[in-house]
Amino acid sequence: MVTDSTSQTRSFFAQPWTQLIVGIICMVMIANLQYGWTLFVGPIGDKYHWSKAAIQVTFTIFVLLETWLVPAEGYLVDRFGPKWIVVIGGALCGVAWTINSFAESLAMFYFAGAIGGVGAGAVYGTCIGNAVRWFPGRRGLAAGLTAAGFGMGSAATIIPIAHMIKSAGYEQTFLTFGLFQGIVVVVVGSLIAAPAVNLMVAPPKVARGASRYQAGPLEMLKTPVFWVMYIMFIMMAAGGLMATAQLAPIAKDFKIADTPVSLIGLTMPALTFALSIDRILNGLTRPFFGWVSDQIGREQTMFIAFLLEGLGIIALANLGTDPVMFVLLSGLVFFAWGEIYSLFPSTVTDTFGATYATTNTGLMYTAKGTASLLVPLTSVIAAKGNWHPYS
Amino acid sequence: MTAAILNILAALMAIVVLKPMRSSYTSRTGAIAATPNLATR
Repeated sequence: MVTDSTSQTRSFFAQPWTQLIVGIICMVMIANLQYGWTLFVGPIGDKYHWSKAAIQVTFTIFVLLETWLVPAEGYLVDRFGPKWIVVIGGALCGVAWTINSFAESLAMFYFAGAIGGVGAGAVYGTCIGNAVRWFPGRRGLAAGLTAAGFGMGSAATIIPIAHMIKSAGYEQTFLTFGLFQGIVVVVVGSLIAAPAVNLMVAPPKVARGASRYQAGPLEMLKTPVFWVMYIMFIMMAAGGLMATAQLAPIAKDFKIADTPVSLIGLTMPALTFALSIDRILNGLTRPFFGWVSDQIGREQTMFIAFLLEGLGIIALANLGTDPVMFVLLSGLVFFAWGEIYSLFPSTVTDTFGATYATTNTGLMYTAKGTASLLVPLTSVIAAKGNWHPYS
Repeated sequence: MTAAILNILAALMAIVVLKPMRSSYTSRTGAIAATPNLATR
């Protein structure tokens, strides 16, 4: 299936910004599989009287497959091109929520979670990989905008989904949104195309510190520099996931969770406020720091963002007893965390080239799955009341 | 606090470890451009 690039580059849609928009639309359409799931857990539990833990196994299966299969899906993209991988991935996402709409056993939900994980991973990995290939000089920004589509994509549909679950039931909601999201990805994803080979192997402009060398996945795995990045990704992802998981317990421990906070013309309980701005800032930071890294360098940006995140967590633990400071500092913590999803894919592609970018960035993305396995440790720490720096 | 330590360590690693390692790797390999075997659709 190796094809000549010429016919693709003549296509009206085979343009960098068009491809970026195509990728972002696909990412927005799969975002609900991760971020919208939480809305369905309660209604499913109410209907079948299963424990939340049992239902949430579905989500665990989804995340593990969505993360760990990306390298395999990336290999197929790098070998055969992105179009069919995205189309099949989108179809699987639609099928997954359709199964959820009539599932009557936990096994069926788990099966749907697996199908959805494979599909969402295929779309996610392909879109990120395609973005960094089309923008050799602005990989941070391109990866950031694409990743923001996933991070913020559910913001517009969370309210309609919540309303529909109440008015028509979760089954109808799964079916309606599942079919809609799946069809959009299939249709829009059919427009996705890889850039011409010469843009990948001999780009006219590359980011500071980038290499023109094209390393395959196995070659990349043999380099110490990849594993340094992998460990750093795990450290950052685990740190951010820990902070997210402990936000509510911290707010309750400080006894400010329900205290009203007024900021920028809005008044909400402190914890609700913090969680609301989480998704927005966590999305905005991806293109922002991605763009910054295109300007000043990847490592310099990592240093600034990661340090800001660490200091933000310390400040939150010390000053978060004030409800306003709690909201502001939690916002800082989320803002300084989300950029890992743009900085690492762009750094990997700068270092190992664009030819196998989808597989290579997919291998890096598995660090997110590894990090998620470390997060339960924080529950143990928090249970001992030892999350505070001086306790 | 574990999270803060992890983040600060990662920030230091970016400058102290990753930057020189990546610089060394890219300067060593930068001139080479392998012929790719891939599809473009």
